[in-house]
Amino acid sequence: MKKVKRPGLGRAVFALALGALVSVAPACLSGQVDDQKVPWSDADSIVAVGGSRIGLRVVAWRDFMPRIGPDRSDGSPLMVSVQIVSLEPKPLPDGLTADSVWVRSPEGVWETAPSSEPRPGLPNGMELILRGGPRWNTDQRIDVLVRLHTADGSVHHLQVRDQRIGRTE
Amino acid sequence: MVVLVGIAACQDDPAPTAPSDASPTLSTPQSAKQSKTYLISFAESAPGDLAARLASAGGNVKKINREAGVASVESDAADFAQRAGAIQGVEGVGQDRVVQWVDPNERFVDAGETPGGSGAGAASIGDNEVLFGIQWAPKSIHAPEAWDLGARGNGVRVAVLDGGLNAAHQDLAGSVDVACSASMVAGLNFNQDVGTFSHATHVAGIVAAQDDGLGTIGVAPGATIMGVKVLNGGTGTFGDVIEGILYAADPSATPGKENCARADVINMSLGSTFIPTKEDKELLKALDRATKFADKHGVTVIASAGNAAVDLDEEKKAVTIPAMSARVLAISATGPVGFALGATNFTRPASYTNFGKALVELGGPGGDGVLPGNDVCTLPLPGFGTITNFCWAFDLVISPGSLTGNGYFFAAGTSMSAPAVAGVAALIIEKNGGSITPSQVQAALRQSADDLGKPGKDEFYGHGFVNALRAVQ
Repeated sequence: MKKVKRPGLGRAVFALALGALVSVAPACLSGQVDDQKVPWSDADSIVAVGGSRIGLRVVAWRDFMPRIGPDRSDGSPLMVSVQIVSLEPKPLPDGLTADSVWVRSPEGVWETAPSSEPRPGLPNGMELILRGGPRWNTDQRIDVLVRLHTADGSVHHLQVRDQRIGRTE
Repeated sequence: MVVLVGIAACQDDPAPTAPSDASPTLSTPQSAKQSKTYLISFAESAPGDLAARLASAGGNVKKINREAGVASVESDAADFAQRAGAIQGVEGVGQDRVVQWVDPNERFVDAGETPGGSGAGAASIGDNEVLFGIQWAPKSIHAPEAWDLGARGNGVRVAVLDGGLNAAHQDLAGSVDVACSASMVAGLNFNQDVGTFSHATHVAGIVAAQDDGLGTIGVAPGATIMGVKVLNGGTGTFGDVIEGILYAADPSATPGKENCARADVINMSLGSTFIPTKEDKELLKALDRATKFADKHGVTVIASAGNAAVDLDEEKKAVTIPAMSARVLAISATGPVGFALGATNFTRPASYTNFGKALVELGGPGGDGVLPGNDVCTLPLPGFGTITNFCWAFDLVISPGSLTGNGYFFAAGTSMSAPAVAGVAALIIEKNGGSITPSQVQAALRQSADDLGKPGKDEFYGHGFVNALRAVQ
């Protein structure tokens, strides 16, 4: 399985620290986009690729554990774990990649390029971690859309809706 | 259902069309360096008149601990760091940082106040607590079986370095050594903070909520809590945390606390994951000195691994502190998905937990609110009726959590898993009559843990998932 090119978790982790230095959480981050430009209408909750049915599992959260280190005024930016999983007991098709993810809440839409972070214990799937998102309130509901590219060049849009933003301590 | 999307808040901004990096471009950071407090690390070879030399360099020494080799110094001099760093024996000079964490209203699912039981003891402890039926966390580490062997944590002192602690909570009153609790935050007592939720109280309850038939029971219900306030309203500093560690390890050195015994265990459910700058490394040195000081004084130090789902094996330049500070046991988190629906997968790695062999020493129950949907579940509380809440909420950890009054809260995170392990450490120390070194406590925790995941040390569980029963057998 070809992995999505990582933009660098190092930068993402640093962004956690950098984000933490911002005392006033911006309402708009650079990744927020016009919802009309997001291909929600093209997306399905399950897509068929290479004879496999593929679905999404999403966990979204913001972290409020007390910190030492750089100033963080109101919890971490949104983090989202996006697991692209084969619904059959076999690996994802070779060459499957994801290049964009959109996360929508009542407050806006955040678009980002995911980093693939292999997580032990996730057979037949890949996990994308989104970091540095908006500081949307916890318990809000979000929709998530992933753009997939297959080895033969086709594009699929996979989505999951009405997921809760959790919080950790 | 289609969620209506509002972008009004963004109408003045250009809408980027290209995918953004995971790292947003944010506004210029507001300086958090107004305090001009420096943390100095120094060697034993530092001169006896170090304080005077620091003063000559333009500093006002607030605190100095020669044994630990750390000092806190204020200065407005632009060249103070350079001048202080040139003093013989000074190994590091770092400007302290302010930390903040906020307490929004929707912070937790409030389980409400329990009606209050009789308070009468029971033959088998724990099961007469009103909320015991939903306390999956201590059960997951076999704490009730350890209690059945008589383990309680009696006589063991656990310092909770955190925000303000509600020592008057019905499940903690009598467990907290009020006289020896302390605040490192100027002008505030250890039991003061802002907001309604108390993170410190939740953590303390996981360690040592009493066996009193009222609400919940902690892993070590006989242990004594020292509340050590190092944060206020989510704001604190490296200096406050370091000062808190030094205090917990040697409170008798503090005026007015001469009769206070040191802690046996320090729990720090706090931390950060980041790639340190050169200046950060100076602060990390001072933090290392403090945790080594605690270890030297016989204190087992436990900290949360963090909640950013970062693989610290992959991100070799990143650190999670204080979990990766010297002599500190870093605790990852596990949690079930669907406890209210009958799930028993309590040792499943939590979705948010940081992981990596370079970081994690042990796993503990921290909860995980990933059950989809907002269905409501009603669970029995044997002998006390039922409790109704969101089904996902029951996958979190229930514990006392109000800053005032007697409320109980559900919460999830490595903030919750670390104190569960701290409680087991207390049981181990009790079993050994207090005559056990931190290294021995750590070894006992490792050797008694359930080796889950890959054989041997692995990314999620480290040496294993903590097991209270085996720890005291």
